[in-house]
Amino acid sequence: MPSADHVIQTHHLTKYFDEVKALKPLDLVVPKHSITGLLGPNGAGKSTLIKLLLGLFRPTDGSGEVFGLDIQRQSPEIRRRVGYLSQEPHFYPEMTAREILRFTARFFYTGPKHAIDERVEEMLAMVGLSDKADRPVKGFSGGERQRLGIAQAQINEPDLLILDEPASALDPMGRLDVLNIMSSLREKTTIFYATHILDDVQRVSDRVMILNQGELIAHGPIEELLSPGRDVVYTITVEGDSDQARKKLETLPWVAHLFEEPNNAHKRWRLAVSDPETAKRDLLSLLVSFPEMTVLSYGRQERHLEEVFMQVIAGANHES
Amino acid sequence: MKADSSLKIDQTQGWRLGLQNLLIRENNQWWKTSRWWVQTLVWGLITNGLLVLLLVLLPLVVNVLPNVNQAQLSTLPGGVEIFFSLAGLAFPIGVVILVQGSVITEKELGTAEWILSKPVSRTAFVLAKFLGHALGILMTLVVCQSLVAYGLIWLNQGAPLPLGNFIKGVGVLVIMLLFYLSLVLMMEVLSDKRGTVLAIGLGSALGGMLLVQLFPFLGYITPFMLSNLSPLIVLGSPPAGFPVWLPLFSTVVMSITFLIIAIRGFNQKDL
Repeated sequence: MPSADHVIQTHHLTKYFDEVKALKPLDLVVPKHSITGLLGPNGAGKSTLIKLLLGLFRPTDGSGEVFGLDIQRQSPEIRRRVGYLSQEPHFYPEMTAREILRFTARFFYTGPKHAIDERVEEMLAMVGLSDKADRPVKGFSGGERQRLGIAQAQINEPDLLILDEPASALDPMGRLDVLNIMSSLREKTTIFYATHILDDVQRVSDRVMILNQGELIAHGPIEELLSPGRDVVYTITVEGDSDQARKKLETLPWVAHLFEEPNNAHKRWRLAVSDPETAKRDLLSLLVSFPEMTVLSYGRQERHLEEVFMQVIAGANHES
Repeated sequence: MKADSSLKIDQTQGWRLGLQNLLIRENNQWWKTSRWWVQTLVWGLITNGLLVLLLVLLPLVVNVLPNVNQAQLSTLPGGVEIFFSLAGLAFPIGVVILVQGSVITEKELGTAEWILSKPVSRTAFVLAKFLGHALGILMTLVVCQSLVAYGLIWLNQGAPLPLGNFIKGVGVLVIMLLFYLSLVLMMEVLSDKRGTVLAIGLGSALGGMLLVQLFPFLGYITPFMLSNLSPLIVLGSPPAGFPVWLPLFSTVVMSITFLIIAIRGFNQKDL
């Protein structure tokens, strides 16, 4: 049943291209007024999911609702209330930015030309393109094109903004601009965006969904994914004979993983622990109890989304 | 969704959603660029240029050349035959060249994806292409060139052709060109390869007559004989016993069918 609190809801939504399972049966919920980052490696099914929601692809099976409207039967009604920026936004190259926005606005609004133009001006100012408004877009840089993409996606003041890799083609300044624009829209709209830039997700999102090989493998509020209740990682550098210590650690029930990396003459361990309290109490004393090994550095790492991402992807790939 | 006080949300529903805006864009592509006068000039040179050459310049050259049998001039086809034969051959090729790429380019560039992420019906997308090209082609190729040809033939013969018959002949050309337009548009939707579209479009425009020679019954149910029929209609002497209405009717039916297939195909396409 569609809920008033959910903007997007899917039920076993599936998309196969012949033998390729682009999206395996997917059930997801995106709450209202959230910024949800859709993460996943290339080919994970992020763009496929977005295109299904917009009616650009037809599902192989399953169903979905946006604003409680069916994505197949009521797609035009959905698109009235959605703004979309594709992975590589393409516009008619001979048109100027102003003409592109005017053209886009006419799909949503009727009214006098001056009213349309006012809205267009507002959007140009929002993305900082007022001074380039009358240049044909074929001469635009990647960043300018992306900003124009955000302006056209926002022209109808949508209730839901869907962005596919909005910052992937941009330099650091361009990325920052896009993230700032997204943050500024937070109050007005729900944002659902695909990306593989994990820092961006951690910076602006409230929720994260991780797709891998067409499957949703993790999702939830970002603080929950990064919460101390999950694995904590210690970084330890040792020298000397560390074999015995490593073997001992690997037998402990609260040690989830031990990754060893050579580090010059030393060894660096990244130790994921499933019981942070026990690790905090026992780990250091255990390490120093091996006389043939010296601990050079020892520290507990702050959890980053990148780590969560790598763990769940590695886990999912291992299982499959 | 909020709207400015003077802006109103477009309430259009169903297949017409976005049609007006898309049609304006298609018309701008024809009439606000150099396309309209370039096409008028190119196809004017091919048809009326040759008409002038054969009707006016050739007799002048023949008159000044010695040792040329003046009687041979009278065996040359008249202006009506020349214009309608040239138009019947050249205009279908023009339609194929002008329309090919109109949907495939949008699929390749991603502009189709962009447009269809807005409240736009896929039917409107295809219809806008059809109507926009139909208007452009009919004005620059058919109306413009036919008017010039009518004037040239009038000047050459010293008397106007019967206007009613001339309009009927031009009408046959229109039906034929709309057939090629809908054929190319259908292929543009169904195929992602320009080569396929061009091969089928040009193949039917150039090879149709050959097919009719091999299988004469095709002359009754395809547009391939229409370019031969149109001058006869203008001259008021349609072939006796030949049901002119049959290839016309069948061409109209095929054109509508192609358009329906294009719309249905586009509605089911993943973009």
